[in-house]
Amino acid sequence: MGEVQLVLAVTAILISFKCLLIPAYVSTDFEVHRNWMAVTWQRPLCEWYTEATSEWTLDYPPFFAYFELGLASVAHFFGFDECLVISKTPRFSRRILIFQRFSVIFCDILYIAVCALYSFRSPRLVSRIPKKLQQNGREACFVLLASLQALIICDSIHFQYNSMLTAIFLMSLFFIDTERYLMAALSYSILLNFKHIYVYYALGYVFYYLVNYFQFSGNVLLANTPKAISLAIALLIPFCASIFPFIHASGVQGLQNIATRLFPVSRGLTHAYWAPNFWALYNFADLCLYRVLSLLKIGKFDAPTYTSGLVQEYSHSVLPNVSPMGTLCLVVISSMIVLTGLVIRRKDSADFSLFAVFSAFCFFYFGYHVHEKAIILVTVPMTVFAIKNPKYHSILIHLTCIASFSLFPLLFTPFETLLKYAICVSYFFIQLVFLKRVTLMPLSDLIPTRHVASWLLMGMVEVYNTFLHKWLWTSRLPFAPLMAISILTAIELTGLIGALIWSTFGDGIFEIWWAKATCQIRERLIRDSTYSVQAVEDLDDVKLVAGIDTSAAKLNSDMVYISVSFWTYPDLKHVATISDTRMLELPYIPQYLAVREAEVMADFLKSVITERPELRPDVILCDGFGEFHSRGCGMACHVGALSGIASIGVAKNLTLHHTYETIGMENKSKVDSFVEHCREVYKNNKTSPGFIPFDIVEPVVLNILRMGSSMNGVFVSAGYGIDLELSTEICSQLLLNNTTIEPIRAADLESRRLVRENFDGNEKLE
Amino acid sequence: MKERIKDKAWRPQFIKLNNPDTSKKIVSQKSKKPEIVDLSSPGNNDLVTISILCVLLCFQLAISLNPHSGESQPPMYGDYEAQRHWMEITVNLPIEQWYLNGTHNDLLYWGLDYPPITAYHHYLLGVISNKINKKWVELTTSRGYESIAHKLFMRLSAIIPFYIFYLPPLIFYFTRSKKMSPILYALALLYPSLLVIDNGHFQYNSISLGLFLATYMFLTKNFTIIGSILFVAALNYKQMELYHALPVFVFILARSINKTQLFNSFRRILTIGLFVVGTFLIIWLPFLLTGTAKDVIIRVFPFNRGLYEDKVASFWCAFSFILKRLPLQSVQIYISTALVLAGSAPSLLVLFLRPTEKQFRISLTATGLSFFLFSFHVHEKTILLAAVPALLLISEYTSLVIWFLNITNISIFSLCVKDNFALSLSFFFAYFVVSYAYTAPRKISHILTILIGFAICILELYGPSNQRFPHIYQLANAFFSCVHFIYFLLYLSFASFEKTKKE
Repeated sequence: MGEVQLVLAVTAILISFKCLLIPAYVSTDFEVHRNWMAVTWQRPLCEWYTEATSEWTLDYPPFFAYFELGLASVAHFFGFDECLVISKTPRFSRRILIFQRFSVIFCDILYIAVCALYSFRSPRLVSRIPKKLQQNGREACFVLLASLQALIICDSIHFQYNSMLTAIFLMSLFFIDTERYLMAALSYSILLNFKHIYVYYALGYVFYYLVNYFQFSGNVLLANTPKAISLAIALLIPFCASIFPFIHASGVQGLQNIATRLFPVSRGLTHAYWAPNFWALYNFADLCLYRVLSLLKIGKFDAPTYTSGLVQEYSHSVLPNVSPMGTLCLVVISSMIVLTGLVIRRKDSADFSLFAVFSAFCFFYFGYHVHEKAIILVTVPMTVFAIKNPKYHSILIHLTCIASFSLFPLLFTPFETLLKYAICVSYFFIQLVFLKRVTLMPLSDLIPTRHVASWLLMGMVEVYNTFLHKWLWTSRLPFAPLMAISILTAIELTGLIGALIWSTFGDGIFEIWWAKATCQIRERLIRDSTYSVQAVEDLDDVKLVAGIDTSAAKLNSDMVYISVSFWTYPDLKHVATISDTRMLELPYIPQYLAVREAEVMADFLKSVITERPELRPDVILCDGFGEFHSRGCGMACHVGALSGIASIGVAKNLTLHHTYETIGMENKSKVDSFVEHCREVYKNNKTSPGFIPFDIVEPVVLNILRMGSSMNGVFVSAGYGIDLELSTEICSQLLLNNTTIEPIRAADLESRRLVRENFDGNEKLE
Repeated sequence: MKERIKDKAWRPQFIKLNNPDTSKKIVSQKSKKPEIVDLSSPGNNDLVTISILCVLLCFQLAISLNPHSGESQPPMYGDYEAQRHWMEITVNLPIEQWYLNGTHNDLLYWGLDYPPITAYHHYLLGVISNKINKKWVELTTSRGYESIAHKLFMRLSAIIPFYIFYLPPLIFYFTRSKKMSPILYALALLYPSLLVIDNGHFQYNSISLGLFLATYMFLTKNFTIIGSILFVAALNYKQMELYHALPVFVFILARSINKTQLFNSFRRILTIGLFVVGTFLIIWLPFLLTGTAKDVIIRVFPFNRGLYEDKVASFWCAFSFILKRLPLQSVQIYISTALVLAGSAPSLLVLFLRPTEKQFRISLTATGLSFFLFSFHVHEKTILLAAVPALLLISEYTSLVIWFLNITNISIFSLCVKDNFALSLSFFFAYFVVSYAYTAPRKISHILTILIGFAICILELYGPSNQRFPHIYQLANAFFSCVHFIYFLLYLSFASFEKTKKE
């Protein structure tokens, strides 16, 4: 029931806000759509794509033309005939404004409904989110999609119909998530016939269908034939419905008219305002080279014209010109590289939204004459993908901030300048609130320092552009501020694409290799005692001890609760237990357990001590080994070194793999025999405090405090800043009921309780 | 380092340790309960507060895009022009002429009729706008001045006081509550009527209401002198704060009286009184020195005007079809006063006997309602003086307050229509949807009456015109709202006594 209330509330808020925005500034797109209504209403079909009384000629595919005809019918029905006059000069009145604004608002209502359908009914949306947080994930997806700041700016103020088109795309996503591939293909084909810019997603669809729809394999080629036929039918039906009426009316000429309007090639490599992509950087490089070479009087170059702020074809001064075909090749090549990599690397787990993100990114980054508004095509699937995979939350937030900055130049009138800032800042904080509810992670996970720094830099440039440039330079250099924001956002977008590629592919070979190398370097430093530590040399130094442990969510083992439990020593009073959530970034690697958890643990411990200095422990006990390790540096060593607190490794299970490897498998029986004898010894000394040194192998780095009937027990090894003898004595004191080390037990119980309460639900009783 | 394995015959050696007695551990474990902290729990309200404030700013800016009172409607225009005119007068004329009719100050054209702090505020704004563009406040020739830049300046001057005066005490009040629903919190901060009147119609209610809220915060924290000074400031910004004067006075009096130490009580009351008088003197000093204080008072309290203005949801207007047939003209002011006091008396009496914070809030709301319903020369905007203290009750009387707030939205819709701002209905309706989607229990009767109110609003926009009764829809709205307000007043009065009995 909660979701119905949320949908109603969000719909009401957004629609009322858009109603209040009706008097806002409108761009020339307002007259574009008014003219298209007039053309489709007043002219026969065969003249729709040749009518040129107004400069704002119809240049969208036929489905959009039919849509405009539908709007015109509604306008006529309600008596708004002033919208339907073909005029060379723009026509504007309050009644026209109200009708067209309400047509956008009506489309927004449909869009919000589709957002609700996708968010609350998609089976794959929250499969990687812990059970108790799945509803939060759905709500976050709905709110963030429904209130997308780019749509409010582009549709409700600037004036376009992106929300309706995005709704069709979301329907396609929904069908894919429910594995209704033919319906998804049909939806996408319909979308293409509304607005051909959505070809941005085409390659993503191709690669995804090759893998998931065709079960791509040469062995079952014949089995794919009926599938291919069905898919072809699904794709072609919208094209037939779209184009056939024009062929019927005008023959092949009708088709040519549409093609000419849809694909003009005289608009130039970049739009009047440069979208933040590769070609903005290319233009800037050309401009810099021109300035430098002119200054040095080397060669003769024509002055650049791409800084005129006009939509026109132009030539570069120094660097070679780039043709539309050249950009298309770059788009296809980069898309194929990335998507092929996605298929190879993540064959079984890649989600379609990620395919869509990469496909749209490649088009946006290398495409010909890209508008800055096209950033919507990246933001929407990225929002969906980030909900599905919480590791990408910070990337999503960074992308929407870049999108905000790149959209700011669209609105430049006084009230709308303040509005755009308020809308984008609001969306930013709403994102933080709702994404935090999805994972319960600290805020620093969502907004890394580097991202904040880049936002501040872009913010300063934006403030300068809006308030200071005219005051300082009057009317000189009018394009410079726009260029500055384009270049900055292009740089950030390039970095973001790099981060996305690294996050997606880097957790394979490269990331593991890098993690291992880093770990080995640190281990060398640990063995050399390079890290400073508050060492413990005597039992009298120990007043407070802490146990630290983590527990992971079932559906997403990267999401963990860390708990640290503080106890006085030696009287064993439980002082406090402090817990928090963390996202583990690195994968599990055998023999490199420290890679995944140690740094996170140490950082958490340091943050707790910073906030509560009185809780600084003298010794930290870790659930794992210390020096008893194939390279002599187990988890506890890393935690101690990184936190600066003496550490002890206390394991519950005795793992001997590295021992076998070290001494050779021919000696395995000796070790096993020794362990068996240890178990017998403990049977005879159950109630006596004491330990058995694991001295079958020298040097001795492990002491056995307890040994059960199997391989479980209490196994102590020195960590960092403390020796084995002292570690053993401390742990012996911390044994309660002769079973386990109480501080670690308390931390383990608390972290598991929190995971059960907040992540997984009470599936089984403890 | 090379590991070496020992001989096959090597046996484990048990090494004993000396440990304290085990029973001692068990005893110590039960001594003190450990502190359990979960840093991941959403106790941090700052993020939610910032988000709500950002959304609030979005709505304020969007509302500011819409027409203000009297936009493009010469010769008198509206409240927007009134505010601009006051800047013009205060910045160009000496202070002794601000409230006086004269060659350069025609009081019939939006003469200044608010207390001195409003005049000082507009003088400050006038100085700023004069620096930006002299034409905005040029004497006489700037009448009716309208431009995008000027509108932006004026709109910002109405938005900024929210974040300086009104929101800090409100946020402080809600964030110190032990358990506050984020939805109720948002509903309180985003109350539409104040936004529509200040940022749409165009007034500066956020300043006087903010000072009033600050008064409440300081008085309830026993900073009585500071609270008194702030209330005097609020009163001298808008005289309508007199609606709250009785409960404020009673609260201070009740808390100052100490039965066992009458002398200290008397001294305390005298001290507060001196600060109040002193603050008044400081505020009115320029007018006292120039001998124009009397003229200011006459302007601020125009008793020669009627009981109500336009179609307002007060008792006198809503029931005018009955009352105008009765011979009440000669005694109307006395009946008005008697009814106001009668409506206020129950909650004031209980407040005096038991000056708790909750009772103070109830009394402020009830007294505000009583003044609105029965008082002299009521504007539809003054419903804010009952609605804002009701926001403070939103936790205790959620169902009633939300019902009340929605009715207040409907009650000012006629004003919006006159301003050509009918789109405000979408904001009111959104508030209705959000408030009833998320609060429990949902009472069907409340929802139905609010829907009837919205139906009246729709009729006001699109209903067939009536030749015989051209204002039938506005009167219907006024009557509808008034009946609800009377109910709320009665409910709160009984609520005061109920609480006393239970305690």
